Amino acid sequence: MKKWWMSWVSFWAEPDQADAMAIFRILMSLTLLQLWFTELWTGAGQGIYTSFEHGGLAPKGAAPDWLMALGGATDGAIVAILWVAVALTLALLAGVGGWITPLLLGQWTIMIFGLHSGTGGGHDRLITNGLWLLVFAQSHRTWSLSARLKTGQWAPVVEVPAWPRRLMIFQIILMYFLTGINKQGSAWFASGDYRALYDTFLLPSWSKYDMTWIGDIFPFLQLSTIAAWWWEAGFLALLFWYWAKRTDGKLGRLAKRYDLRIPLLVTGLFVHTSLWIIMNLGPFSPITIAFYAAFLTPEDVNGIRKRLGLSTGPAHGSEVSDRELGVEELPSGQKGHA
Amino acid sequence: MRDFGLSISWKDHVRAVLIAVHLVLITGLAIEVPLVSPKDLKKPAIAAWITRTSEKLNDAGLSMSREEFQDQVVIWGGGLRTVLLAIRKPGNVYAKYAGVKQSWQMFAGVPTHSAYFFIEIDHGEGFEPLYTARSHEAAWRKPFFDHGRIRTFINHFVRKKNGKGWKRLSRYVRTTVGEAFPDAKRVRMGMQAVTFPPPEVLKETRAVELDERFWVNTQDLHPEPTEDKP
Repeated sequence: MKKWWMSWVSFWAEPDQADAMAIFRILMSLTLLQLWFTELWTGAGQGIYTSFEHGGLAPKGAAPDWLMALGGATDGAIVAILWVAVALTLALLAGVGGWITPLLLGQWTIMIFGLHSGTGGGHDRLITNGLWLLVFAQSHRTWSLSARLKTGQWAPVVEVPAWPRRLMIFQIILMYFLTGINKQGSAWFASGDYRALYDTFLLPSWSKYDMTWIGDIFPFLQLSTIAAWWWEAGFLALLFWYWAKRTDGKLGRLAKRYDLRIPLLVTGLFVHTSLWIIMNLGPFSPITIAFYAAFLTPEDVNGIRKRLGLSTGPAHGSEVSDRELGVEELPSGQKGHA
Repeated sequence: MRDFGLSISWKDHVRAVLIAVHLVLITGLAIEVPLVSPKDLKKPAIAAWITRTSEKLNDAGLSMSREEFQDQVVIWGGGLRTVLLAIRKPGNVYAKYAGVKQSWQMFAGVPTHSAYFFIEIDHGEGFEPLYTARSHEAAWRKPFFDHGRIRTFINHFVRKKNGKGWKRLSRYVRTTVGEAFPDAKRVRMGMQAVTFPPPEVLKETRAVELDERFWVNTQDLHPEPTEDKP
């Protein structure tokens, strides 16, 4: 038991390189900026968040007490609230304000979404979950204005704890796996003729275009329905793959040889890009793709850095393959395997 | 397991405990609470799932009648329900303040029928389309009504039993249409039900089937002021 507990403690104490979470920070910021600006530009933000008693669509009683004290969720108040969100998001993008920025932005975003709950969706949950993890990620320490001001470099190599990124990996696996197995409607199975994607693309609420031509490609959509279910449910295998990689037996060698991330994430990029083009799912596609940054290991980001002509760090080895990179002295003084 | 030569302090133990709690809470929030009461078991979707799953298990070689399978669902589902409800008590508080809500029912069941929103306007010569979802011709304030949040709000009304919020939408439409068209007389809005035909039919018709309209209401845009009684 003690050995197991010490393994658990050690796992969450391991170091990482800050780049992956910095990339997530940037992608999250861009997603939020797109969200806030479209809400302001189309008037949808004012419409959906202004409360009923002030001429909007939001139900009475949804605004927090402090907003009620200031006059309630009026049209003008909502515009101001959205512009504050824009300002906080720009701060997050620039990587200024340390952990306080994602904390404030997270709380502000939770408040905004709460002004009219039920008008969001999975993307809202991914956004607020992601912002919470950014509070702990120290993602502002590289690829940021903060880094530039502190070190003279825009993208210094920085060591940070690995646990926020690992929690992000768990979160995305949890989301995909449960989204998959929750798909229990008959249309996802033979009993419903595997017509789930066919019906989904015809739904007026979510389709962007006239899709009445898709009867021509029904067999393809049936195969895609089967593949989509198994792809989502199959994300659970990634958890076992990560565990296997840290073992030394036959399973460990197999896991190190075959990178399970590649088929799952490449499929994901294809799926989410396609959905982004043909459906209106709000910011779901961009925020999900943003979460993929969590799968970048120090080895991966150092490869990117090398291609960009930037300095590279010692691979901390928490999830990399057994390549001969030697034992390095890390900035913290701890030793890390490549 | 690898040894990275880490020196572990008490802070690392605290972190490990907090992370374990976080993982338990978010996993407990993410797993849907099973519906296993006698009333739930009679719901068509749940009854169909039990039938379908017991058939699949029989096909896989597990000899079990539908009733026996249902009994097992009630036992194990009931146990899981107890555990999840216990986790959700602290979990919901954590989710509310940290933003770690988990609900991953996305297109879990896809219907073969739906509805789209429409607005029609009467300038004094009969109603004509003003906004129709997915239409390029009747496209008044299309960026607004096509925005994800507005679509999600309106999506609640595709089921006839979900009327909560319709009055708010009606008032909003009346006000905004009235401001945009000061000379118009009336506005009508509602949901147009549609059914998705089988693919072999869709190939021929290139159109979904229109059913009835519902939630239809007509409002005067500029009602005459009532006279004060002497």
